[in-house]
Amino acid sequence: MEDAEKRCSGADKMKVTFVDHSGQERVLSVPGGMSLVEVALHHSVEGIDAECGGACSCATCHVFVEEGWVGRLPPLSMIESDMLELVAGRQSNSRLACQIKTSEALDGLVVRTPESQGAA
Amino acid sequence: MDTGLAPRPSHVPENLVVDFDVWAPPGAEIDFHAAWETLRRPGTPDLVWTPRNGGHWIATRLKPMAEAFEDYKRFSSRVLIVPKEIGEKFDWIPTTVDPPQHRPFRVLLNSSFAPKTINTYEHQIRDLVVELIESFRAKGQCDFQAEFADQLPIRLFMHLLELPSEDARQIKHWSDQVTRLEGTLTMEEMTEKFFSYLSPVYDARVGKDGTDILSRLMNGQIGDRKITKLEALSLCTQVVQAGLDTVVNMLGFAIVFLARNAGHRAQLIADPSLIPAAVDEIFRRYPIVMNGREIVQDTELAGIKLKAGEVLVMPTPLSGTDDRENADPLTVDFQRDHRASLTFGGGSHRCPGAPLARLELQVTLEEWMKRIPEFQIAPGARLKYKPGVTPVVDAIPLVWDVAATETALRPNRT
Repeated sequence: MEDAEKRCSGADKMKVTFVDHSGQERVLSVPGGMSLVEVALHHSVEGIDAECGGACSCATCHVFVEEGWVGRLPPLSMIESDMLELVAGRQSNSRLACQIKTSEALDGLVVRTPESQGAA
Repeated sequence: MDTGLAPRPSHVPENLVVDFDVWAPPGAEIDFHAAWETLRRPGTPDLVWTPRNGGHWIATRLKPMAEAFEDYKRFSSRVLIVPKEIGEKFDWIPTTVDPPQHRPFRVLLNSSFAPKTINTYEHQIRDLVVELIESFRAKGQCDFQAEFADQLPIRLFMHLLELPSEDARQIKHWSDQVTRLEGTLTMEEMTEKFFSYLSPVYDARVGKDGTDILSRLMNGQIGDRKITKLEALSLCTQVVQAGLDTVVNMLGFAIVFLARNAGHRAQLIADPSLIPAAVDEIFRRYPIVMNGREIVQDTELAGIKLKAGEVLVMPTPLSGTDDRENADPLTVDFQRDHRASLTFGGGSHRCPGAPLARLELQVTLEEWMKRIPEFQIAPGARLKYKPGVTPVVDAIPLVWDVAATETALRPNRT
């Protein structure tokens, strides 16, 4: 799957991996400048609902960022911080996928999706 | 719109002043997007100030637009349109409401437009697309705008809202009076027409179990109370109006591009799996919405001082073609390795219709390229663009070889 996506894409792209709660991995090759919600929606990644379509207005795109990557993300904005208070099972490495953008600096990013999305 | 020139306020440096009418960029009738590119030359500041439409700021780069979209505390949605006197009259929910009040209305909208919900409409969309294409394929020609772009999004939307399809023309006419600047209705008159139209719909659906989008909105919870009738009318008016333009326009821009670019068509024919990326790229290159915000308190943006009460216009067409964000930005490249734009806005108000818009464009291209892979703008035709809040191509005469479409259409092609 990964090789086919790289062949189709042509240019060098960024790698991002979604791991679902059972450990299943989706490794995707994507352009820079996209939010992880866009990536998830475009590739039908299970485990992310993103009901508001990526407007930081629903808190259903909750992901756990893998160790080693947490510190490399831009800091929480006020609105992400507010919305994260609503997620069930929030941990210190919790972020909202709509607020993470693919970039060269985050090439190789790994995030885990919770068993279900929803309010605490 | 207003043709006077506002005097330059004292805090606005002369070197930031550009005489530019956002409702009539020079040459917009011939090529809307090229007209917008004339605003941003090498050395153009990130924000400029125009004396048109009451005097206001215009962001020329993606980053200041993104900042304004995100930071609702400094940039309020109370005024989205210039001139300000007209913008102040536009008060629909949730578009003109700032967080935190905005959120329960947006949450109510989300369930109807959530990606997972939208994906369940795919069959309906595909059936409609095929029906429309087949209605003219054997004729070897069509006016794409009238026979396809004006049809698909509106018919689909009226169906999802469970409104009679014969009402579409009237509703669109009211909406166009404002968004297309035809000017025979004021903002208040348009609002009043929509409210009068939707009021009996509300009365019929409130308290019932309807599963259509309007029923869900009209019976929605706002926090721990039900939505009021007035709020529901405002919200539903916004939803109805938003569904009637935008996708109609984007379909036109997409087909015009493909009609003029055989190489890009060949890519999609050879590899239909490129279509989602192609749709994203077309959205990046040809955004259509003029958005705006009101400055809440004296502040700075891109190093430029703005005063409370001023209006900042964010022309989304300039976001995707910002060369600081996208290399060779005017080139449409389906295989771009980095793609940034604000076609659907950003922040809390980011367009809830984006997943639906994307799906409609995708299915359209999938079925069109299967059935009419080679086509062109009718020789000698001159396209005209109508500018406005959401610009549109006036008529799109396309021609193709019918015999070729018969061989193109292979039933086992996925």
